[in-house]
Amino acid sequence: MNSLKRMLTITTISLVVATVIGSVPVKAQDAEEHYGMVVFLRGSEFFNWAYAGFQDAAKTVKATTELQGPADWDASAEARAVDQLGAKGVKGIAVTAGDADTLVTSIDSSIKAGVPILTFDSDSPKSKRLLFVGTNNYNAGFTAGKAVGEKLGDKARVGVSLIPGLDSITHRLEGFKAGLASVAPNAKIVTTVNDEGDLQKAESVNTAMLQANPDINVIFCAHGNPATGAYSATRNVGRDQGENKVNVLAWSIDAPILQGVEYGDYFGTVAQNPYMMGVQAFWQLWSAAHKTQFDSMTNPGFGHVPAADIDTGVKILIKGDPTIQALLTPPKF
Amino acid sequence: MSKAQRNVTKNTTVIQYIGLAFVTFAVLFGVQLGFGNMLTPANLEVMAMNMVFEGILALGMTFVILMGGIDLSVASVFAFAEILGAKLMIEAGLPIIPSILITLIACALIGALNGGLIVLFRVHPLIITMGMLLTLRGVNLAITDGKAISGFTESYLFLGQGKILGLSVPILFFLIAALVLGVLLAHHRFFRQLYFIGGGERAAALSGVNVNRVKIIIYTLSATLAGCAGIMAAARYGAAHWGHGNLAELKAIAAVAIGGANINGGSGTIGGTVLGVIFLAVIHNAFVTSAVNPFWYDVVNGLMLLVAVLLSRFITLRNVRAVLTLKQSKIENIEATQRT
Repeated sequence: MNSLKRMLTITTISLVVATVIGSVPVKAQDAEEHYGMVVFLRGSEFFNWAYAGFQDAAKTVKATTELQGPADWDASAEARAVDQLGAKGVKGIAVTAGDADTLVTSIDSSIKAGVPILTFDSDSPKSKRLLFVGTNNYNAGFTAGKAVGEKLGDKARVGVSLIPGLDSITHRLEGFKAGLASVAPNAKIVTTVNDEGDLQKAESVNTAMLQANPDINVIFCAHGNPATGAYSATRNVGRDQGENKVNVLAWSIDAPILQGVEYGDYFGTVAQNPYMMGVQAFWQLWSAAHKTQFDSMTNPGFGHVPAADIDTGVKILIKGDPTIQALLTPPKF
Repeated sequence: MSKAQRNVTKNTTVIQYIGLAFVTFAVLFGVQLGFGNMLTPANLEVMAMNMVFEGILALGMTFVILMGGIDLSVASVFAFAEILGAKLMIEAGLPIIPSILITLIACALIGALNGGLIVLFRVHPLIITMGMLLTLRGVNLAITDGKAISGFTESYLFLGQGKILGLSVPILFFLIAALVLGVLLAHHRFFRQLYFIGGGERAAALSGVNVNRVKIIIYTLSATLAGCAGIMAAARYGAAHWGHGNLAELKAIAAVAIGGANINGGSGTIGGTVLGVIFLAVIHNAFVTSAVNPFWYDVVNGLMLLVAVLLSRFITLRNVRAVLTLKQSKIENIEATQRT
């Protein structure tokens, strides 16, 4: 009797679960076209901006979108998300590669199955993706270097906080050196430190760097994570204000950094344009998914997309820039 | 345990499995009815591949949990196997088979070290395996400089991307491993000892079970299975990366717990774990197919894990009560017989 009761309870729960999941109204079923975006660190402000652009662009042609991918930095989970969207039959996929090589198989399978796929923000160049939409890291680094050179001139003595070995960061650093040299040929990059992408680590290595190299007057954060740690390091050595202040140039559009720029904690921040990445990613996918009279020469079987990558550019945001206020209200999904 | 007592436990376990299978099918068909696309061959394959590596980890985890232990290091062993195999093949230029054998031996040694440290220092396995998780993650990062390693040969890629009898190699491996390990757990004396150890380590030791030896072997088995999963994952993705399999240990533990194993040890089966793995794969796929905000996926997983653990606890208490009632009725019967 007890067993029967338990079975009835389980049956009821099962039916409720199935009914709830099965009855969720989803626009995807009603729409003609549905596109997917796959990210790592799902939920981060940066990728929320990218998805907002993707979604807004889709709305203009009454297409629907969905965001997939892991909340952590696991490219294999992204690969699985790409496979799932392909099996679901979406019209196109935009993916940012948590690791360039890991995504190759899934991207190539998607292309083979006739589903247009492109990369945005982080590329997978060995794959057969249609194109890459994102920041050209060399150009962005050049802009950052030029901004530092224009502010401090030949007196600029720069310490760089980075993660070694990543192509994107290496290109940024090369661009930074060239940009700095273009306006301040006697400025110097004193040293680089490995912050391992970790905030606390960034604080400790940057503190050590400032203690060992008191001539450093600028910390260039070559990626998004270390800025808060780098600023804390300037406080630790008593150089967060006054004449000896160390200027921290961040690389992030996260709210704490933007607020820090407004408060004067940071000299500025290198702002990429994820919203435009999303908008452009959608339009390229849409174009690839709609064949015209003549077949694409570069990607037979798909609609026309440029063969060259699209650089969405950066802007150096400093205190008082109206863009900061706009970026301080990021979209949520 | 008497026959009647065994029947009480067996019945509740069977009901638990039927319930889980029923919920899984209800979700599967519910989503198919609501959205379509769920039962297409392409989606079913994607669904199976989505949890297959965590599934292989969960098989090893089942044995560990059965004897009252836990192995948090499997995810970093998984990534370590990817990286070591890749380094041996691509950087050292070794052929595939020796590379795989060396990798599996290295993983087995890591498992043996886990087991050895747990036995030697009598420290909770949570601490030892967490230490191993963090250490190996650091090693994985350090030896790769955070970069992926790629450039495998086609014959190696077959291990992750190839098919035999229409089934992907990792899925086939998972099915065969589940079948073999399931049969061994159900019938082989060595593996039956795990239930004994999980039910009470001291009692098992006093009964002549070599608890230390069993523990070291099981942690070795768990790490070796993680190594197998890592080797196939690198072939699947065509790259080895330190970030692969991040948090896979938690998914493996969740699959085992949802599959009805007692997280404190003493009960659970490979069949239950396979059901747990299928359930997690179906739920995850249902979120993608239905385009519901995927943030809710973790919420559902977490809730299901809580429900499974609480249900398991509830069933254990009921079993204890049922066994006590049986004992009491036996005593009363004996007393009644003596009176007459």
